Amino acid sequence: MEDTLSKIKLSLSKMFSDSADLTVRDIILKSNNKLKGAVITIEGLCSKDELAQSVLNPLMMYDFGGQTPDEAIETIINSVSGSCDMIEFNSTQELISFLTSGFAVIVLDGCEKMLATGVQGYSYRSVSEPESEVVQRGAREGFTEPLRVNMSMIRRRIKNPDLVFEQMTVGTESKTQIMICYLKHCASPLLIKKLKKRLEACQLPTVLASGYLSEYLEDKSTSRLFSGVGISERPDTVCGKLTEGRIAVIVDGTPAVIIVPRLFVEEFQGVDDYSNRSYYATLIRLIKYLSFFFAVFAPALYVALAQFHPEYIPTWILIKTSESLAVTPLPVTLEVLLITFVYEIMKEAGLRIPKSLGHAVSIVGGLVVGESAVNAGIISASTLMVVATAAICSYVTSPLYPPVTILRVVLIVTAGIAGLWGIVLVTAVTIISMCSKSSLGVPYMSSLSPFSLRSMRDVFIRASWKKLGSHTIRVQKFPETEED
Amino acid sequence: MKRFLAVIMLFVVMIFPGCSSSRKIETAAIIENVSVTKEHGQLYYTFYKLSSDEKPHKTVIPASSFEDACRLAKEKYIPHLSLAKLRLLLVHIDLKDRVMQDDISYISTQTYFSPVAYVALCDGEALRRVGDSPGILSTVEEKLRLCQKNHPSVKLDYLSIFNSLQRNSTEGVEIAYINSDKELKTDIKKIFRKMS
Amino acid sequence: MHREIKYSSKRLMLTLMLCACSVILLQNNNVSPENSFTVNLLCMLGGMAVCAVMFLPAVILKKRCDTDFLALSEKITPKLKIPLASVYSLYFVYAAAYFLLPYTDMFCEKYYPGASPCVIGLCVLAACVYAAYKGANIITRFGIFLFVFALVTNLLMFGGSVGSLDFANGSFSLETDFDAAASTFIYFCAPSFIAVIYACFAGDTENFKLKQPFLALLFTALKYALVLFFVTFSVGAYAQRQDYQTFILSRVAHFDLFGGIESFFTALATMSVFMIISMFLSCINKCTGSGGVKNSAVFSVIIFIVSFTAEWNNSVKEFFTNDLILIIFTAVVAVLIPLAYIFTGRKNK
Repeated sequence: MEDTLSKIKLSLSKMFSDSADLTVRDIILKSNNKLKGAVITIEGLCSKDELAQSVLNPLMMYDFGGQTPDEAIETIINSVSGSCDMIEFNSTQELISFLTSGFAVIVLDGCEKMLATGVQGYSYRSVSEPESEVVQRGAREGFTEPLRVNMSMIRRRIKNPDLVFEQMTVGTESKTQIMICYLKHCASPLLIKKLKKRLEACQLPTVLASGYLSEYLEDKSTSRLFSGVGISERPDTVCGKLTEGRIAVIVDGTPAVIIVPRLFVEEFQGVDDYSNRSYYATLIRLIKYLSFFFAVFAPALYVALAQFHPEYIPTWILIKTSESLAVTPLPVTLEVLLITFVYEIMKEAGLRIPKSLGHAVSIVGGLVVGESAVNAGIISASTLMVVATAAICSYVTSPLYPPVTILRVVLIVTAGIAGLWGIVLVTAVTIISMCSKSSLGVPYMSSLSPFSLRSMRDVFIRASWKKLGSHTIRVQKFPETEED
Repeated sequence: MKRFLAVIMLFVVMIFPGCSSSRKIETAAIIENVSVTKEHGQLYYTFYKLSSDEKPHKTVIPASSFEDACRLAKEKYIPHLSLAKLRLLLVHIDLKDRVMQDDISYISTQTYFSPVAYVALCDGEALRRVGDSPGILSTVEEKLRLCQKNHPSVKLDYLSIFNSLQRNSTEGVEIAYINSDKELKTDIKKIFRKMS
Repeated sequence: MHREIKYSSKRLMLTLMLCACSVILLQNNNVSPENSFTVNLLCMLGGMAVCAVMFLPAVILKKRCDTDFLALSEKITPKLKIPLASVYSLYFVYAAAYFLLPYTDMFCEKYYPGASPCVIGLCVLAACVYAAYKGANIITRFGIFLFVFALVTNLLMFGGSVGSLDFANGSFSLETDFDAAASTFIYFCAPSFIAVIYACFAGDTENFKLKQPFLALLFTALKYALVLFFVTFSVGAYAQRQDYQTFILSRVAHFDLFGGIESFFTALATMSVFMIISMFLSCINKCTGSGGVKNSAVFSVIIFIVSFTAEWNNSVKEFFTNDLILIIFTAVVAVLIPLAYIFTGRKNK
């Protein structure tokens, strides 16, 4: 039993390869037998003040008398340390896990047991409003990177003992902590079981963001174009979804929380819908659906009409459009594709460049490239207007941006080859593909197809809270949800 | 599955007529008005192209019938002819018996004409004005609508004229007549089914 | 292949109703111009009555045993599985060609004269293979979207034709030529093919009610009646000058300057044909007991070859677009064979 301290220190220095941030503070306790020990931490993950106040100072001051190391450990837990979070353990795996999670570990020579004390104190981004989910009315709080902070934000909103957080570790290398969060009386045990099974099947070496896990949570052999896994940075959104029987997965180190199952109609529901008056929320929701259709179909319809069916364009637009297209060198299909790609490039550049340069890029993109290209007769004004409007519309339902962009390009190409007929056929195939998709066994197009009249109160319209609040529809109750 | 679809798509892209046979907006000669006149015993079909210019773009084609005029127009005069947006067919009053029925009969067998385009008889001066003055087409259409409002029995579009001619052999069909007494005015004329 | 879970019987009926309604979208002068509106209406009602009769065996099986004919036959005569599958597959190939041919013809003749019918057929079939691979349940889910689109298109088509209504264009008399009435009657029996589809999938559905097939046929009859009414009184004699009268109706429909409703019409026809053929291929999958893409692909190639041959050989085309052959074939697979099983099952009891 003697010399356990040296063994632990040796194995740690081997495992961490003498890493500079591994800190071992040797101590000799005030006792008759001069007990030797060490407080091990990883620099930067602990608060030095708290470590000194609640661990080191009391340890040094306390007189352990003639206690054996095992007795001393018990005394530290019961009478010495002022830390709230104290966990006894004895394996090296746990030791590594605690150290990397910001705990300080107390090791006493001659004792197999070790003591982890919660003195985490790393710096992290403060709680702020998420930029991607800004609301007019509602909380200005968004998730942040540390897991525990995010958990607290959910717990603060749902003060119910039924709220369960189940911890799991994913990533064979990164050992990332994740929390499965659900309301026991709302969520289906089957869905929870399915989710855990899929997370366990995830054999990724590192999990650095929630996006890494999304693909593993998708149902097999269903369309990957639309995502059956939702992401939110807002605690109020997550809490709302939990009450509908959904399950959240919080990944340590990322503010994006996964919500499953995710349905198509949810993409059109926003937090603001529930804060605004129902008639206004309904109007906004209808506008969102229209924007979605415009974002997907407008450029393709423009190509099809200009290329194959000019007679369907109203006369007053037809003259202007034909004249502006007549002076441009490219066929209309290529023109629309070109502008779409240039727009995507500018969008990517705008996202990545420093904010101070953002205005310059907007000016160059909007004025110089756009206007000059129109003036020079490289692209037509009508084409630019259609593509730009479609691009703006695609941001109305921003979570759908990736599938909308892909569909738009596919439809433009199809419209260029086969006109309106091509658009119809691709749309039919896309609808079939969407209808066949499911998220954790719940049909992705639920409410619409399979149709559910009861859910319609929160699909195209947003019924009043009196109606919505009278009965919450749980996600597992949707028709044709898989039951085994 | 994916490979199968890829092969099909490739095949389709390769053989689909696609852009090559499409009616491109920038090249299509979209006709919105056709007038029929007669000079020295020869019928002339004038095709007015849709344009934003002050002066109407017109192509005069000597032909024996509308069918012949359309064929000649495509072959010789207007290669990218599109008659799908034809709004008005104006026929000289003197040709009402000869042209009207044959042409309407021809139109009724063709897919690309809109069956609800207007048909009216005109005097020579009115036809000349249509050929020279910009924006007169809308005025003519307004006059025709007004005429139908005042005389519901008048048949304006060639769908109703054709149907009326088909079923009515004795009473005749009332159609609009535009004359140019100082200003454009609408009147009513009767045409009778040609007995075959 | 997706695991088939029980789905709503109502949704299957809605899909079948849409399939039945699409027959009139593709009609090519099958409704005799010599008949008055009333005679056509009576012929149509007679046709619908025949469709109702065709439904009976499948409905009896569903009501009594909550199963479909295919499951029953497999249970009673497992040895006859291959011959039965062959007969039914043959029927579905015939029926698919019956719908594909007029569709490609209408498309290439009326809507887009530059296109090749074979390419159009091939594209539609490729899309159908994908849909059939996903299964009948998914196709019925697609049916809900198609239903909404059909509703909009029909509203536009009928609403836009109201302005052209002229009761002098047609007559309500009961005088008719027997041959013309008979051919119209046979044509209106064509929607009975939905009874065969129902006989294949009835066992996969839940919450069946006896009124469902009758309501489906009633709404189909209503749609047909509206089309007949507007074709007779809005388009009139003009419709007889061209093929595909319902297409002409969509051309005539307009709201002042807003026209182009034939685009909606063609889209509806495309999606309807896509749904019908996908359903047929799904039925073939079910008959042959295969859920993969292989069977659908093989049979779609056969349908393509048939259509391709029909484009070049007129007698083949006449054979595959013959209403009478379809009706007789439908009667055999929807009534005679299932009834034989029902009676055999009773005797054995």
